[in-house]
Amino acid sequence: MLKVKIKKKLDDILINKEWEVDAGEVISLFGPSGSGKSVTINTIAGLINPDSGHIEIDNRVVYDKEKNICLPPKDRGVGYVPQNFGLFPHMNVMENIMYGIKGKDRELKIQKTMDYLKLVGLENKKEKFPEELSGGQKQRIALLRALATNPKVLLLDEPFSALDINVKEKLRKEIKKFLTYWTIPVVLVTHDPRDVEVLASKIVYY
Amino acid sequence: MKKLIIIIIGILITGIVVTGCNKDTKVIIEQELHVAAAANLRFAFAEIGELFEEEFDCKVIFQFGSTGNLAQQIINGAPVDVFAPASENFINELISTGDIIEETKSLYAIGRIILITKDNLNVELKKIEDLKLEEFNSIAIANPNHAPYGLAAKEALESIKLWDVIENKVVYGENISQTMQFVQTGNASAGITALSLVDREAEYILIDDELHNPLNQMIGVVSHTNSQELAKLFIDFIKSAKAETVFIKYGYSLP
Amino acid sequence: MNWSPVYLSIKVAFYSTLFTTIIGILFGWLLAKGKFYGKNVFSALVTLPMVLPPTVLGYYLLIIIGRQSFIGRILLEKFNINLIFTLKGAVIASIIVSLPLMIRAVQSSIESIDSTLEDVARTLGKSEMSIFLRITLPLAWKGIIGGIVLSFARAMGEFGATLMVAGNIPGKTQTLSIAIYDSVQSGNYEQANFLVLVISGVTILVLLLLSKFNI
Repeated sequence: MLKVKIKKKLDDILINKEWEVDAGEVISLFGPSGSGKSVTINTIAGLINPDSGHIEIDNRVVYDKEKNICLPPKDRGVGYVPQNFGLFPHMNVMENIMYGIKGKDRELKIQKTMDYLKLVGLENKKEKFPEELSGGQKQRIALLRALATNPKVLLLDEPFSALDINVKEKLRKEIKKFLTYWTIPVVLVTHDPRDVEVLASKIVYY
Repeated sequence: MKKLIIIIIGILITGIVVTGCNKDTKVIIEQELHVAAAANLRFAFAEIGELFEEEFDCKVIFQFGSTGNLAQQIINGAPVDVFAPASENFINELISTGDIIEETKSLYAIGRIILITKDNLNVELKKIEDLKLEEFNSIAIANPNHAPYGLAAKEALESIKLWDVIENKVVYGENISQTMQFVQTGNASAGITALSLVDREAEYILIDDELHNPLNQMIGVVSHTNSQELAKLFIDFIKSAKAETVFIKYGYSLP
Repeated sequence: MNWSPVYLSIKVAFYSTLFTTIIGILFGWLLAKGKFYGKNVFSALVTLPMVLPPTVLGYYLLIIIGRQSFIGRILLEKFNINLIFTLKGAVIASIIVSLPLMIRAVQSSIESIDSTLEDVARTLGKSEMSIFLRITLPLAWKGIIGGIVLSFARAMGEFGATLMVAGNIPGKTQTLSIAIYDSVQSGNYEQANFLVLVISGVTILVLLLLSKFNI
């Protein structure tokens, strides 16, 4: 369960939203560019702070202005996939996904990573570097990387905007199926109505 | 292969650095005397230094440089034992700051300035007034503001009322060594430098010492020295007959 | 042939580059990422040594660490350390003149890293230190190597400030640059030319070596 209530004043707009989403649901923040959608998920992740509000992830308060609570991003348990996927260019696919997995047992981490890669059929790309991957492949790797940390909520910032049209439709269906493996709330930022149609079960208009 | 070369060179450099370290901590067997002297004293002092080392079985380390810089360094604690500036007011200044032991202040030689010209000039320089001539389009002297020999040069030129006439042709060298370089390399057609810096065989015109304040070469022991005994011995040696011969050889007058 | 100026120069440049790299990465990162009061003043101060003539810098250093100063007196009385006319002094002089180059190189290198990458790393649960070591530094590496190259070259060629602080003591502080100057001063042009060849050779060799890391 993700509960979000935030107010934030930006240069030309005022964000004043309150919404929640259940585990297994996909909520779409839908609106034109510059309407504050990305800013909203950044506040959920803890990368920036709202002016006031209350954010709760899995019954845990990660932000509350009045109670002076503000957890840093690393303690919030969020999975975050930025618009251009944000894969680390100096690490290969395996290292990118392993980076966030906790624990000292390297063998175990490698095993887990391979399992994830098999889920999307990309095991043979494990030694490749991000610049050698296609857009769709990068997106799936970025998704795996975020989910490998077992987050309590998944934040997707315009996940398909950087991809070709033909790739987009195929991926939408794939991701929809893929997300069913994880029962966590998913927040999908997009300005593309097709994304909402295929993936979202709830909408918030921005 | 490449990696191997890199590693080898890396080890070489580290080796140099490390063994360099050990050199510092080596036990010093002989006594060392650190003498800071003005640039014009280079040749004379080097020779005297060798004589001193032989006689007193020690090592003399010379630092030749600009008197002004050396004075500043001594005031700020540089580990120098003896100071021989190019002019006496530096000795007096350091006595007043407490950096030179007053009783050790000694006059040991008097410097002379000379006029030199570059090679391949069309015109011969017969007397100092010839500097007026067009052929001498740049005349080098040491900077009068901080080089005593430069100041003496300016005083001499002022005495014969030549300064105003040629002032716009004058270029300043940082010290008399640089001044000499300007002339030797042909960048200045003429210059005034120290007699002690030229070859005996070279052509030059000796400038009358009545025309400028005397270039008294003074010497003194630095108060924060760790080798006061040896330093005092050096001062005495500088005034000895052996040293006098060397000074005369290098064109100094004796007091 | 007296090789001590070569040893001394390499030694000074080595230690100077080592410390400059460490301090430079720290300050460069601070200026790239930090938000603190007086940041612009700090940035200007850091660039100042580049603007001042080395001899002037040397003079100020002389005053600041000489025994008449507060720092100098503590060094002398408590630790019996005198920095003037020592190789340590030469290293300090070289560090001061090389730092601005290093800091700028590191700062712009870190600033050009996409901040989204660091943000993602945070959401993956990593501490700031881990992010600095595993994301920021590796991505800024090329720029840092550039800074190291500049610092080393600057230290090898350092003259004015070194002469003021460390003096011109053959065998102890007479680095290659100062030895060349000294040779020219005493009219020994042959020696000067030879030393120029040596310093050029050594510097080029090390720079070539460093460029190997720039893959």
